[in-house]
Amino acid sequence: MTIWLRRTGIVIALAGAIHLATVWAIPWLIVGVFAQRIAGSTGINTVYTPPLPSPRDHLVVAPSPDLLYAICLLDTAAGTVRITAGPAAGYWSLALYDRNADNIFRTGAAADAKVELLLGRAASAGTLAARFPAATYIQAPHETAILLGRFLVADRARPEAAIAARATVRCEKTE
Amino acid sequence: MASWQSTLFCLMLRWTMKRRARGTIDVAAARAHFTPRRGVLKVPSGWQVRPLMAAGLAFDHAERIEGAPMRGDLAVLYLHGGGYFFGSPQTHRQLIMAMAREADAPAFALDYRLAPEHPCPAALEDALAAYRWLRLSEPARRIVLAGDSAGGGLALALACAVRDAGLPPPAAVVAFSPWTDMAMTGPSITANAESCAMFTPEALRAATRLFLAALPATDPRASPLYADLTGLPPLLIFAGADELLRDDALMLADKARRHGIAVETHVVAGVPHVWPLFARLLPEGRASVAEVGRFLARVTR
Repeated sequence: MTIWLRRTGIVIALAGAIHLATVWAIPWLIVGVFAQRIAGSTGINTVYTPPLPSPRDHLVVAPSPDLLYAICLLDTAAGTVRITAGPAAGYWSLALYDRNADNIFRTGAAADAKVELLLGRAASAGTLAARFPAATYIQAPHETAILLGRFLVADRARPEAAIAARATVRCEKTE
Repeated sequence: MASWQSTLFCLMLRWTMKRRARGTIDVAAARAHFTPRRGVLKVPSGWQVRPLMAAGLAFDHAERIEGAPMRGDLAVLYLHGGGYFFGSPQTHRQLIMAMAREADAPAFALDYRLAPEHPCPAALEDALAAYRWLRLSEPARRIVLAGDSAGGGLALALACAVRDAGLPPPAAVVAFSPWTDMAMTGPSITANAESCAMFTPEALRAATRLFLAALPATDPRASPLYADLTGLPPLLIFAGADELLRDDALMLADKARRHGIAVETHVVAGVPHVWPLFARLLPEGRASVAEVGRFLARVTR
């Protein structure tokens, strides 16, 4: 009886530990693979602009067929990265994801809005504030992050406005 | 990644504060719960905390917090948070002391009248009276307005009231997680309902009812997001990426920029509402408080 209780306890403890480790590791693995692909196609701190998704596209999980995406792998190791977008017509939004897939910032932008973000380590915020007074400073939890821009294509036959809106997205190092 | 301290602290807040506040507010219990323990009120050596009684003025109590030596040309007027229905200079003493240290100037912490006994605009009247009093009693000092949460919104509303009253403007405004929109129109109110470690939208709505009484939610004295922000001094605004009030801060910052105001905005991920209040525990809090020092050195020297 005691042996069976002990074995059951060990199995439950192991299952719990494996479960927690899996839940912790999977986002890191998925984002790692995703970041590697982006780095391989466009490099770091450069906007990747894939075509309108079709059912065969799986670079972004479950891409929406009525959205154009702008994706940028951001690396703050060498300094703060500046992200700008807009003003642009139509509905669009920007989101920043941490290295472990946590969403760290998102904004839905009106047509006339211009978004300016600085992603970096806290220590450089003060010096950059004078250079970029209109920017929102976001403290990067890790050195790597991913920017995902979404631009609504109301009519798939006429994506020009969304393409123009997406073209306003810029990622650049500040130092 | 957020620090392990912040991760644990957010978990603890979820299990205590957020679980308790489910849409109803027990004012007496909140005030009793947040009465500071003696250890929190301990004054470090080299610092002085003096109560100020301003007889004949709308507000009845304030504290002057000062280390030595400090700049003679600056003072901080700090307005504490607490949803406008609890909190005091004592509950926020650690943060106020940190503000005084970073500004290198004495801080004056106001015990403004609270809702529901004194709904809006009582707190703003008290804050304006304190500003006038501080201008008269410390004429050589420029004043930095600062506050957190409700106090952050109050500091911004006060900056507008100071301008409207024709008084000399403050040198700057520093707001931690400011509550600027009683109409609760920010997308983060719903988008962050789950991720916010402290509040639910229902609890926030209940607090607006206490504070507004008969006022509309878009009255600029209660919601500075709807105020004319022209002529305000430089603003430093902090928001947690995951908190309900994130967009209260960001929408106000955007509007201020459109009015030509210099605004520095910081968004920090993985931290609770008003994380600098817990700077003794959280490295993110200490980093943000240090940002205040850099900002004030830049805009006031």
